[in-house]
Amino acid sequence: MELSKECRVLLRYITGKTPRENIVELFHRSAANLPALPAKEQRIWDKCIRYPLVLLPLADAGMAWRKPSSLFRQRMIHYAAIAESIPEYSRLFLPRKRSVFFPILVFFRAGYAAAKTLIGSLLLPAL
Amino acid sequence: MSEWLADYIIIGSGPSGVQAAQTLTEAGKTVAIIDAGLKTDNTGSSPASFIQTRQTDLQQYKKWVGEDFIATKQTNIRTGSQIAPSRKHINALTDELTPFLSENFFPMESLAEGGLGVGWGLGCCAFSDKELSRAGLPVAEMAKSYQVIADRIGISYTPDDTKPYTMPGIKNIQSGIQVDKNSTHLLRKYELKKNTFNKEGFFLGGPSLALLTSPKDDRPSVNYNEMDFYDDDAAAYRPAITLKQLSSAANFRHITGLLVTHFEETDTGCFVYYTDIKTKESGRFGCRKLILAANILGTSRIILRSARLYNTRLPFLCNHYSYVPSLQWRMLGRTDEQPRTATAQLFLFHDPEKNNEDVAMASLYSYRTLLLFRLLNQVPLGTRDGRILLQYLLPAITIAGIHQPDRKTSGKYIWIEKDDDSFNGIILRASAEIDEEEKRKYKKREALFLKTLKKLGLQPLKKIIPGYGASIHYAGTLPYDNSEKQLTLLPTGRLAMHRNIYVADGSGFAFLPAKGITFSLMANAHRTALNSMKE
Repeated sequence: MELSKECRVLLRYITGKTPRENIVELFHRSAANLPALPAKEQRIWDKCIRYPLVLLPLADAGMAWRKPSSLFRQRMIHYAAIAESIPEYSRLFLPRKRSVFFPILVFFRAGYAAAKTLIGSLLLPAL
Repeated sequence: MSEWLADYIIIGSGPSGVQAAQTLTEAGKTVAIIDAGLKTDNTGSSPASFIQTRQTDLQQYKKWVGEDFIATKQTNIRTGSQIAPSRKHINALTDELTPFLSENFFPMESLAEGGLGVGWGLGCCAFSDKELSRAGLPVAEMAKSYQVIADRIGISYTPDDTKPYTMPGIKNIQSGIQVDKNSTHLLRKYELKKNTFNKEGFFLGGPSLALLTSPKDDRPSVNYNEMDFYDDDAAAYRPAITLKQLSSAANFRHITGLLVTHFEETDTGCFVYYTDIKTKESGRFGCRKLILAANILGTSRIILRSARLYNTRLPFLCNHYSYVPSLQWRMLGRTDEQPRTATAQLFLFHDPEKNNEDVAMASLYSYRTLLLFRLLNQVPLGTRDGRILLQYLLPAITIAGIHQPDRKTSGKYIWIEKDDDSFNGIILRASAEIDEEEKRKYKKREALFLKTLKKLGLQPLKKIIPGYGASIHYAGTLPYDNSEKQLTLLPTGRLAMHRNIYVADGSGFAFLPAKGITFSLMANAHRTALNSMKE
């Protein structure tokens, strides 16, 4: 049950969509292959799953900056890889034609993402 | 000999082994290839293109990450087509059956049917006369052998500025692959400033690949479905194609499931000793001549153990390799739906002296088919933001894989030690200390490549140096020598101080050009097989 919840939370975070049951099942199966997290990372992970709206994006961004090789990040990349392998999410990963103004949007998005990384990095020791 | 197997026993079914086998079989000799012969059950070519698969195939995760989700595990060795889960058998069981220990050298070995050729990127570049001479290879013999191999495997290439570095003097080449939009822009930019690039020693052109653009024998032409890293399209040459052809010959046998441990030479031939990898039972076969083609590490194990030379050092060569993800700004926000391959799109050569002797080479790939998740950890952003940013950047991402030549130095060597706990009683060890001068040279050359990529309109994002050994190009353990000196090869390919033992892999190369070794390995194997019949 806990793992199913984790799959749903992470998929919603990575793709912005609520997953169907068969997708959750695939995630469930793939998670059996994941190595256990060290105690501290597991604590942060559990908190992220409990408070996905605020903590998950910040902690994930902080880890991406401070500990990119951590098992926490490896687990996150694993979930992203599975999401990328599902047809209904493929358009979120494949190139799309964009308007010439899109770079402006990307610029602001990158700034927003960098701010999250900064806040997440500062927040991590407190988690 | 009661255990007589064939006139010739060849150890290894990689590119060298199968080409030597074809030469000997065609000459009417009885030939047996012995190897572990691990196979994958995930081969064949899919009719759907990469994009169609992404949009419709519910089971596609098996292709990209594997049924056991192996592709998400981090590794610092696998690159290019070796990373596909369908090719994970390339280095299966090597830790268990051929133990290797080193703190600073991380080579890939293979017990697969087809050896390291299973994951070959298909690049075919003949060594220049100067490179051949430095490697100790006879120029005239190699020139003939290159042509034989080109005729056998089928090579496609568009003659352009890179011809002296790829297919000098080789005939019957098919027209080159059609390159993608990303690469077309780079070629245009190159054409505009060609003189400047050439003055600085850089030459850009289409790739020469063992990939058919027209049907040949019973093989089809390339299908441009972009699944090259994941599927085995018969348009791409793999050693399995030759094995299949040979299997119908009455004078050829392929015996799998065995690990050859050592040999013993007799007056009339030699015995080859093996261990069955399943039952662990040992046995031996007899033959008139033995050809070792087990890749330099496998061959070294067998030779050193046969001579009981424990702790004896052998030199080795390995191309320095780095790769550079780069962005081509003008491709941002565009899509490229035209049919294309996932193989290298362009080759960029650096020949500062313009004499084809000290040449470095970059293969340029468009990134798309390797999927975004592999890049996510390179971006210091959260997974969701990283995905959004990379999705936008994806059509513009080009990966330049830079190989540099290697020459013998005292800091790189291998040796075997006794190890009763290991499968065959020995462990292979290696040390690779790269001296400061070498490091400086590599760095300087990488900087020149980065500068040239910028001039071509590519913005390098990061230089990544994977573990030493990631080039998967190894050579030079038994350098060619004209004297009968122990642990060297005669220029014919015969192991010095032996009558009936030949080495057909890259063990004899005394210099390792940066151009990719597989085409030259096959040509060398052909000429070695010919020489073994003459002597």
